[in-house]
Amino acid sequence: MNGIGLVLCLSANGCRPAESPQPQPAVYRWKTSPEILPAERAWMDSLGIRRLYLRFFDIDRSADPARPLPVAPLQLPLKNLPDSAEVVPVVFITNRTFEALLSLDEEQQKTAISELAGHIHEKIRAMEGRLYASGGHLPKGAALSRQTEPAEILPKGDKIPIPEWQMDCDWTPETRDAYFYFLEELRRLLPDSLLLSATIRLHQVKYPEQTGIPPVDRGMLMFYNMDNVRAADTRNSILDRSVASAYYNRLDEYPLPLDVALPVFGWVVVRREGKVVQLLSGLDERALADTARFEALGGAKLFRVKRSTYLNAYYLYAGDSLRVEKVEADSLRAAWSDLRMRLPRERRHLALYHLDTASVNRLNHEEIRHILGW
Amino acid sequence: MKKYATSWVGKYPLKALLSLALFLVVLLWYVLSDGRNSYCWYSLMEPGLLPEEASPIGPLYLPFEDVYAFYREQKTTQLQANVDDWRRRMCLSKKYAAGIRALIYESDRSTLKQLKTALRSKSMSLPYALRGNAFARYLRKQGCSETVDYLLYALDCEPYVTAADAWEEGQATEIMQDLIEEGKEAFAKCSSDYLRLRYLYQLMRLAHYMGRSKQALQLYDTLMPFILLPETTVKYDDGREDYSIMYFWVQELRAGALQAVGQRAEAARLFAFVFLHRPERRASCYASFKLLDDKEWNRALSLCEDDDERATLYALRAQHPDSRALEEMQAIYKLGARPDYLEVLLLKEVKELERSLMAQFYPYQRKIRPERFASLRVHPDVMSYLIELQAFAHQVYASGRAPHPELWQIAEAYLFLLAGDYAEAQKVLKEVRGKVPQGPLADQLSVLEVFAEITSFEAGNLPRDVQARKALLSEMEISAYNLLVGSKWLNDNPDTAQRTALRAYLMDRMARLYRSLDHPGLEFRCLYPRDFFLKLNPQEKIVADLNQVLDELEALELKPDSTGGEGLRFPFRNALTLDNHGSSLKPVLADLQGVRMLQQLNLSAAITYLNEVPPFLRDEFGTGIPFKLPWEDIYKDTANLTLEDSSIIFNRYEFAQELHSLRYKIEANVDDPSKLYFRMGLGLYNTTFFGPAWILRDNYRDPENWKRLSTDSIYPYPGAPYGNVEVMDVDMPLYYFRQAITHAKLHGNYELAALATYMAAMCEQIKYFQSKQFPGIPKGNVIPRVPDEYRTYFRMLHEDFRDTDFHMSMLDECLYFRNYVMRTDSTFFDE
Repeated sequence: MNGIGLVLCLSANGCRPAESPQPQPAVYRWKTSPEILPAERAWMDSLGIRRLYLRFFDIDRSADPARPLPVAPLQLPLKNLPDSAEVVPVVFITNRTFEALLSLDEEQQKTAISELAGHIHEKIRAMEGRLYASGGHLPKGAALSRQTEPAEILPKGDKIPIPEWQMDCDWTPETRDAYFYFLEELRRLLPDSLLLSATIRLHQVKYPEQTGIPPVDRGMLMFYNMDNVRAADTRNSILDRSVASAYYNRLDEYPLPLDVALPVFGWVVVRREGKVVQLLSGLDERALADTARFEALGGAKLFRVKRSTYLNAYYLYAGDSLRVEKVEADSLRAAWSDLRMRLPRERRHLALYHLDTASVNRLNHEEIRHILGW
Repeated sequence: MKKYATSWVGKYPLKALLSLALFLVVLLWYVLSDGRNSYCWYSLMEPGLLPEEASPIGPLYLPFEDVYAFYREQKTTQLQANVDDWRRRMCLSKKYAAGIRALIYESDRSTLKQLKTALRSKSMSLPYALRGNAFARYLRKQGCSETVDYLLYALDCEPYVTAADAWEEGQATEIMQDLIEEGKEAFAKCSSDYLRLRYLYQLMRLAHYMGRSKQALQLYDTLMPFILLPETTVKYDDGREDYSIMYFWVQELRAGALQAVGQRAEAARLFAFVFLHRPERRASCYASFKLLDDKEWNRALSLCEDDDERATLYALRAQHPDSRALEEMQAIYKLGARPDYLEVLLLKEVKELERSLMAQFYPYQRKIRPERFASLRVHPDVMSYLIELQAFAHQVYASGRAPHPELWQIAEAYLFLLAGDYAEAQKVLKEVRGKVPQGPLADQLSVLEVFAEITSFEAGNLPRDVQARKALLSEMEISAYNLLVGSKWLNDNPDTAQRTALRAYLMDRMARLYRSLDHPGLEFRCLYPRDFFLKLNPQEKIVADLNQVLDELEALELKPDSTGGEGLRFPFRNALTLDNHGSSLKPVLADLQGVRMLQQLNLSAAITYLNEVPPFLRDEFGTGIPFKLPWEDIYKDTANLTLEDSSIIFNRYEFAQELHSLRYKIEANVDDPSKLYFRMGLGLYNTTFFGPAWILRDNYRDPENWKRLSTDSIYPYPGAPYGNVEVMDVDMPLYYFRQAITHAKLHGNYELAALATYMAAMCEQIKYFQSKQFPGIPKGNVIPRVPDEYRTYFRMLHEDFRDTDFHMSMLDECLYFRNYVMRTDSTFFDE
């Protein structure tokens, strides 16, 4: 194609690159409670979701920097877990865990990180065994290979396969080496047949030279929390098309195969004396409809607390300002439309973050099916 | 030099010298911290000033590491509370405490079994481990076998009712359930209500750790009616008879279970109840307290049995780190209960306002890094809140109902200060001074008084009349100086954060004063007292101001002085114009100006300035070997290359003179100036950033700047307001090397011409590294590829001087050159 042809073609959007294969639907569950509620389960089923990224536990520093500890583990067995779904255990590790480890000398650091990998390995294994009430669940990952395309990993038989483990940490240039060493250590403990993935934040895709590429098999691009939630003039820190555009240009260069997580959650940002003091998860303007307590400040996004009151177990003081941030169908559609054009053509999972009643009520399955083409 | 060192102290030796010494010690502290500190605002309120009984919420004020220490302490407190409960229940004196502790917490099952046997049979002796244990002897004497049975049961339960290793999976639920059954039987058989209460506690703990909240509540509902509470009381050391701690601990477990089953209001009221009565459980009660909505809050309030409980509910809510606790404080005040909570909350709120406002009204190093403070605009709500809190503090103080009215008054004064109302603050401080007894509150008052005094050092307070202005300024300086070296409070309290804050504040405040008086040099010295900072990138206005101040101080000294105090009229600025060794800054300033002139190659001016540096100090300010030849050893014997001695060490003054002399000789049209040109070029090259004698034309060199050669900027020294300068220009040395080549060739000195060509090539290569074309230093030990347009002198060396010994030597010694020849003349080595 000559230059003129290329220009014409691009301007008319006529030479749109062939689209990626249809992504496999998935969802995150980020709770500790031991039951997937019936409405949530119905939502999953109606969307044909067959993969569940299940937060198993968090890791945080303790008084002893060499011994980080698991926090808030998922209560097991998990009721209402679909028989036909794959489960990906997810462990969230606070960055300060690694910051604390950095206070040790090099040898101690290595030992502590290896121990951490060992502990996490054992704990996930033990929890996998307790996913079902019967305790009879066993991962079927051994039958799969690291080279297997995700779409080929489909459940067969009556037991849920666990094809992948995922680590979630917002590492920094300072903690990068420690975190990557941890990932290497964990990888060493896993069979080749089990994939190890890591969550990748937008800034890590944009600045891979500074942040590094984690030594894992796949990445999960977390396409949300893209703007500064603390800034007063932020419109929607969760998902904002204009902000997202700043992150697109290097997406196709990222050297790891990427799955994608899109947000379906919302929250109310509480500001007091100019500072963000709380995020009230799962709430939207419907929770602020009581005009005796809340006053709308134009539009459906900004409110002021008229009289002090409890909301979602948090005590708001008169004068607090509230900003509703949520993901609407339109913004989700636009985000996915922009994103799919820029991602390399490959098979991947598209996960919704995250499964809870508020999300289920806000975005019905028909709408999501339509938007994501499931 | 001596003249400078003793100029102002000479007349008043002892007192002045002592003061000066103290000032220098203080300055040293400031110097060592680079004039900067780790905190971002001055923190003057000390949580430790609260009465002990009123500080139940330590973790909310503490940094992360200290929270663990707090909880460890809480654990110890809890253990002690349990030991005391046993002791009080049995009406034993304090001397039994150690024995109780050892028996309960250190005995193993076998020892307790032996004790039980010994209780049954008088012929059996006490187990070996308990022979010296007074409590064991007491149990034996009293025949307390039920107590030992309970202790054995508690020991069996212990592994299952403490926080397990978080990494461990699974739970011994069957064993725990068996223990519950066993405990229920023991409860039924036990005749002591006190021990039944303890059994109930163990049973509920087991249910709690199994995650079975409903079972815990059932156990409570079923078994509690079988305990006669009046029979479980203990006699406290003050003679008061009250519930055993076990009753409260059981209630806390019950609260946890109620919360887990969704009865949050009931749970909250119980948490408040336990919080109110048991200090050792306050941290956990606060952590567990949770209500969903207003309905639950109102219900919890309605469940409270008295105002103390209601006040506690408010206090629990108010202790959230982000709360605006005035609302709860007003509610507690209205109830007229628990004034101690009010004091804790007052302090919490003052600390919060301090965090918001200090940096605004009392800026910390603000001038130097304005961008860091751009976001510090105070939100209008903060000021409104301050005014409301201040009004409330005044109300409480004025009501006469506060147990520590001075605390409220001090807070009121501090809030005035935080609002920037210095005059009102002064009034309140004066009023409260006579009322505060010695102790933490008096110390706090002293801190605020010093702070207020420092705040008064303000140019706006100076009158317009010149004489009066000068006199008041002198008073301010004397006060400031005395504060720093003579404040009783500052010097008697060496380890407090407030002292550090006040000293930093004093320096900042004086900086601000000098800025208003257009003394940039003094201002700079207040903020950056370390001489090093002065030298990094000396600003003309700063140097000029310091010189002028020094001249004025000197003139002042020369005046006839009949009062005997004339020389100390401006002691603060006097001290600021001393170098870090306690001598006058004059020589340092002369040297700085000399170096600047050397950088500009203004040699006459450089010599004039450097001449003002006393000769014995010249070497101290920096020496180098500016005419050292690279690879000198390999061609020192080369014919026709008889350069002057290249190993002489020069100081800056000598170097300036040498350059000046070389320039003079060149201009004098000597017959063969090639060596002069070469020496000039070499001296200049060696004193750039890239040469070994850089110290002769600079005060600080940061090797990291190699990474920024191709940019227009250099790495600023961290914290230095004007960064630092590096002498990176190689055009001048290149000019002299070119001249050397031309003249050496003219006179047939090809070895020198080759050497000058090589040096010119080094300059040319640096110019490439400095160009935008340079992509950066390659990783690893790789020679960067230099474009041909930057290899004109290598080409000249290879093409025009290939017959020289120097050329041959360089092929062996210089990988860059060898690489160039291999690349451009591949057959050369075959020849």
